[in-house]
Amino acid sequence: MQRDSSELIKTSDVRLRAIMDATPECIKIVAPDGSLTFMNQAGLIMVEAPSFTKIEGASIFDVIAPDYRAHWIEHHDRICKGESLNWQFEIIGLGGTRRFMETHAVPLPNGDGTFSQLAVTRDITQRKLAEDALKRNEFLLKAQNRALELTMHDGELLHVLHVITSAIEQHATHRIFASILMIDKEGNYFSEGSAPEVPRTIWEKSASEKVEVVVPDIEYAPLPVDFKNNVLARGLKACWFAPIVSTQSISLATFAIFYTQPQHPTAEDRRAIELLSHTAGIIIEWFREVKERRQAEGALQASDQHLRALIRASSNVIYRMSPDWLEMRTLDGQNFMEDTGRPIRDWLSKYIHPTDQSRVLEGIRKAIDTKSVFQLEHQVLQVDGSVGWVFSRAIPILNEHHEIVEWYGTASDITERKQTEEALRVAKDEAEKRKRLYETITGSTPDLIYVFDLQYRFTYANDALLKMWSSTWEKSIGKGLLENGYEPWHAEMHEREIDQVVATQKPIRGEVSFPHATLGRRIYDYIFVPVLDNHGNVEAVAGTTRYITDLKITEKALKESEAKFRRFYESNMLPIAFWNLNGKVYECNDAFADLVGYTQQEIIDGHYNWMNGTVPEYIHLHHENVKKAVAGKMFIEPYEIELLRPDGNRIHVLAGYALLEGSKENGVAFLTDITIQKSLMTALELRVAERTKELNEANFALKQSNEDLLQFAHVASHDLKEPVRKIKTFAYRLEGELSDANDKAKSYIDKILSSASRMAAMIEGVLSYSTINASAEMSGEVDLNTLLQDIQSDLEVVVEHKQATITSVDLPAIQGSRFLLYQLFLNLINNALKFSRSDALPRINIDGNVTEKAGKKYLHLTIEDNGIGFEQANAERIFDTFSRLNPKDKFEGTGLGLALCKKIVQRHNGTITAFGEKDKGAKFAIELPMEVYHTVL
Amino acid sequence: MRTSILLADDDLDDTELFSEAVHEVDPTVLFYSAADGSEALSSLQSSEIENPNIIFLDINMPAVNGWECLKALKNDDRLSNIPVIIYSTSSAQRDKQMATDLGATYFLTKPEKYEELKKFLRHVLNNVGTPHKIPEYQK
Repeated sequence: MQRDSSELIKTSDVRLRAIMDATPECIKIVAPDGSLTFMNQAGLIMVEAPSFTKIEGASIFDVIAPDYRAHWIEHHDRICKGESLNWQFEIIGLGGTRRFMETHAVPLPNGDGTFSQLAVTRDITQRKLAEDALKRNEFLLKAQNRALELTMHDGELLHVLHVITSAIEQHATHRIFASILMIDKEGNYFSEGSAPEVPRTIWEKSASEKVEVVVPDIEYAPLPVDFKNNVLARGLKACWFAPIVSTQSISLATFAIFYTQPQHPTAEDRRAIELLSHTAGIIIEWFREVKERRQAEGALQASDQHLRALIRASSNVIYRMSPDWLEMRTLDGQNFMEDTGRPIRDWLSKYIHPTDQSRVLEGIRKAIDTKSVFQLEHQVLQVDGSVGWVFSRAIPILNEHHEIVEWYGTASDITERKQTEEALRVAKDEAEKRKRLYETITGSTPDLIYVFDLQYRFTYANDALLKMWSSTWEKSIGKGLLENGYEPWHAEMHEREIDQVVATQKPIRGEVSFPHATLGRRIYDYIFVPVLDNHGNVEAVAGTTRYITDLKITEKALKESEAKFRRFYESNMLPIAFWNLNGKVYECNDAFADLVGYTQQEIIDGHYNWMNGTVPEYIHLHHENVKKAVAGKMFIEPYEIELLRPDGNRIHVLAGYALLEGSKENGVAFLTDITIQKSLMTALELRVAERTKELNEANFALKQSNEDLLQFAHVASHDLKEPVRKIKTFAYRLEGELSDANDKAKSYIDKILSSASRMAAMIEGVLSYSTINASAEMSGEVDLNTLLQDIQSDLEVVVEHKQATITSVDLPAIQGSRFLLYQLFLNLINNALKFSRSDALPRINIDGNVTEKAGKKYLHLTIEDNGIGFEQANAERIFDTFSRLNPKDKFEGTGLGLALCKKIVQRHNGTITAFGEKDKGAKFAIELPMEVYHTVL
Repeated sequence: MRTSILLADDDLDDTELFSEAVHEVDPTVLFYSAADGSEALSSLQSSEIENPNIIFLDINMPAVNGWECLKALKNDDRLSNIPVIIYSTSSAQRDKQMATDLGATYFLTKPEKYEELKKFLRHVLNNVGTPHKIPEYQK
C-alpha cells in the first residue's frame, strides 16, 4: 500500500510539476516562517531569479515591496492558520523591477497540523497600468467637459481655469503644483492655480516663442536668486512651462508645473497638459472673443460661430436637433461621421448603431422631460461604414419662456477608449481562464480539493477526490456526502462542520479516517474554509484534505517498535547483540555479555567474536547462515550451537539473527540459553524412549496374546465342531438302528444328542464372537427394513408356532455390516421369542428415531417384548460372556447371544442398554451412528 | 453313461458315510475318493480317472486344502467346467463367500443327520446334467 501511494504521488508529482512549469503564473509554496519551499518557472522569471536553487529557503518577505510588506505578512499568517485569501501587492524583483501582483492563496496542510501557503500569483502590472491610464484619461475628459460646460453657461474664466489646473494636479501620480499664467490683451498679468509666482522673464519665452521650458533642477538652474530661494523654500525642486495657444496659433498663456523632486516632466503629465492645453486655449480664446464681441456688438451669431469653433476643437461631431429630436437640423461629422447639411428625419437609422437605438431614444426622452443635458456613450455608424463609439452630449437651448428651441450637441470619438476597455475585459477574461487553469492544477494534486454549497452538496471535487470515491464528476457533483458513500456518522460530522464554518466564517480543521476506493482505509487531515461573496457572506465552503496515514503509521509504529525493542534490550530478558559480518559484536546488552562470558568492554574491544566464542564443530553453521542472510534471506531460522566460554565451559544456545534493515553488513542477534532445556530434554527423551520401549513391548505382548486367543478360539471351535457333529451324526444313526429299543435306551440317546447340540451351539457362538472384528465389511449401506423382513421370514416357523406379533416402524438405512446387524437383530428377536411368557402371546415392538448430536446423526432403536423380563439389577450382567439368568433346562442358550450383540453394537461404534422388569418384559435400547467412524477395537 | 462323483476329504468316517449315502440314492454312481487335495488333483490330471460329473471338496485337509484344490481345478482348462461343491463342517459366512468367489457351485455344511445328506445327494444327482440348478437346494 505504501508503495502504491508513493508511486501515485510520484507520477502525480511529475505531472503536476510539468503543468506548474508550463503555466504563465507564479505558483509558490511558502512555509509558515516565510521561507520559499517551491516556486515554478514563471515565478522565477517574475522575481528575476536565475534558478530555484538560488532562492530555495530564502524569505519571500524580502521580495515584497516595502510598502506592502507588513500587509503581506499579516495575510500570510492568516493563511497559515487556515484562511484562504485574495489580495494585490507589489514586488521588487532581484533585478529591481517593480511588478504589481494579484494572488490567490490557500492553506496547504503540512501533515503535522501546520499549514504552508500555496499561492497562484499573476503579474497584473500591464493591466494595472492600462486601468490607471484609462482612469486618468477619464478623469481628464471629465474635467474637459466640465470646463466647457462652465464656459457655455457663462462661468467665470478663472473658475474654468481652476477646473483645468486642479484636474492636472489631481491626475498626476505625484504631488505637483499647476497654474496657468496669462497676460491679457491689455498686458495685465494674472495667474490661476497653486503654483508660486513666476517672474515673467522665466516663462515669457515659453509663451512668446510657443516652446516648452523645462527646469529639471531649480537649485542648479541659472535663475533669479529670489525666485529660486522662494520656490526651494516651498520644497519645489523642478519646474516646467508649456505654452497654451489659440486655434490660430496665437500664444495665449502658459502652464506652469512644479515638482517636489528634481526631474523632467513625466509621461502622464505630458499627456494631461497636451490634452488640456488645447482645451484651455479654446476657452481662453472664447472668453476673449465673447468679451470683445459683447462689448462691441453683443451678437449671438458670432458667439455661435466661436462656440462651434470651440466645440469643434474638442469634439469630433457637432449636431443640432429640433426640440423634439424628430428632426436633425445639421450634423458636422468632421470625417468621422457623414455630414448632413439639410434637416433629416432618418438620423437615427443613419447614425446610430441598431443595438443602441433604443438606449439613445430613452436618453433623449429623459433629457426632453427634464430639460437637462443629454449624455450617453453609444455606438455609431462611422463615415467608412465601420462601427465606432462616441460620447454624445446635447445641451437644450432655452428661450426666455424656458422652452427648448433647439438641442445643441457634440459627440467625441471614444472608439479608442472603448477598445482599451475591451482589451481590459479580454485581459480580465484571461484572468478567469487562468483561474480555470488553477483548477486544472488542483485537479492533478494528490490532495483532495472540494467545495460544498450551503446544502452540503459537492459543487466541486478534484480528480483525486473522484478517484477516492471511485466515481465521476457527473455522478458525484450536486450530491451530498451520504450519496457519495460517506458513512452516516462521517457525513453528519462534516455537515455540522460546514454549519460551523458558515456561522463563524472561520475555517475548521480535523483528522478523519476514511476508506479509499482502491487504497483502503487511510487517515486524512482536512480543512474547511469559508468562501465569501461580495457582501461578505459565506456562499460556499471549500476544503482540502491531505492523506497522512503513511506518515502517521510509520512514525507511530517506528516509535513504538523502537521503544519496545529498547525496553526489551535493556531488560536483559534475552541476550541481544549487534554484530557485523566479520563476527565482531559492536554493541550488546548485559545478558549477552554474561552468557558469552566476556565483559561488555572486552566484547566491544573485540576480544570476543563468533568464531572464538563458538565450539569449532558449530562454526560452519554460522558461515552457512550468514551466507543466507547476505543473499537476502530476511530471517534466519534459529539454530543450535554450543558457546565456548573463556572459562572453558560449553553452553547450549539457540542463535537467531537478522541483518538490519537496509544493511548488508550489520545485524542483530539473539541468543537463548537452552542448557537447562537441553539437559531436561535429554532426560525427557531418555524417559520417553524407555517408556516407549516398555509400551511397545507390552503392546506387542498384548497383541500377541489377543491373536493367540483369537487363533485359539477359532481353531478350537472349528476343531471342536467336527467331533461334536460326528457325535450327533452317529447318535442319530444309532437312534435309527435302535428303532425297537426300549425307552430307557432312547432317552440316553436323546441326552447324548441334546448335549452335543448344546455344545455345537456354544462352539458356534465362540466362533462368531471371536471373529466379529476380523469379519465383515463395515462400509456397506444396510436397509434395516428389509433386514428385519428377512429375519422375520427366517423365523417364520417359530413365530407361527408361538403365535407372536412383531411390529416395527419404518427404519432408515445405516452404514455398517449387514451380516453383523443381521446377527444382532436375529439374536434379540430370537431372545424375545425364546423368553416369552407362557401366559401371554409374545409381542415384540421395534421402534426407532434419528437424533443429531455434535453434527452426527444417530439412530435410536428399541426392541421391547412382553416376555419374562429380568431384574433391572442384572441389566449389565446379561451382556457378559457365558452369563445366564435362567436355568438351561428351561431356556436353551449358549450364554453368548447378548455378549455377541454387545460386541456387534460396539463394532458399529454404538451402545446397547437393557431394561427389564421381572415377568413383565425386557427392552433393549440401541444407539447406532448412521455412519461408522472407523475405530478398531 | 454312469454318473461319477469324486470326494476329497481326509476324514475317513465322513468319506464312508458319504459313499454309503451316494449308493443308497443311486447304486450305479461311480464314486471316487481322495484323502486330500493333492491326491484328488493328481488322479484327475493324470487321467487316472475320467472326469467326474461332480466334485465334493472338504476345506480343512492336510497338504493341499480345499481352497487350493478349488483354485487349481478352476485354473485347469480340462477340469474347470466340473461343478465343485464345498463340503465342510464350517458354516461360517466367510467360508461361504470364499467358495462363491473361487467359483464353487454350492456350499454344503456337513449335515448332522444322515437323511439330510441323502436328500441333498438326491437333489444333486437329479441335476447332474444341469448343474446350475444345484444351488436351488433347500433344506
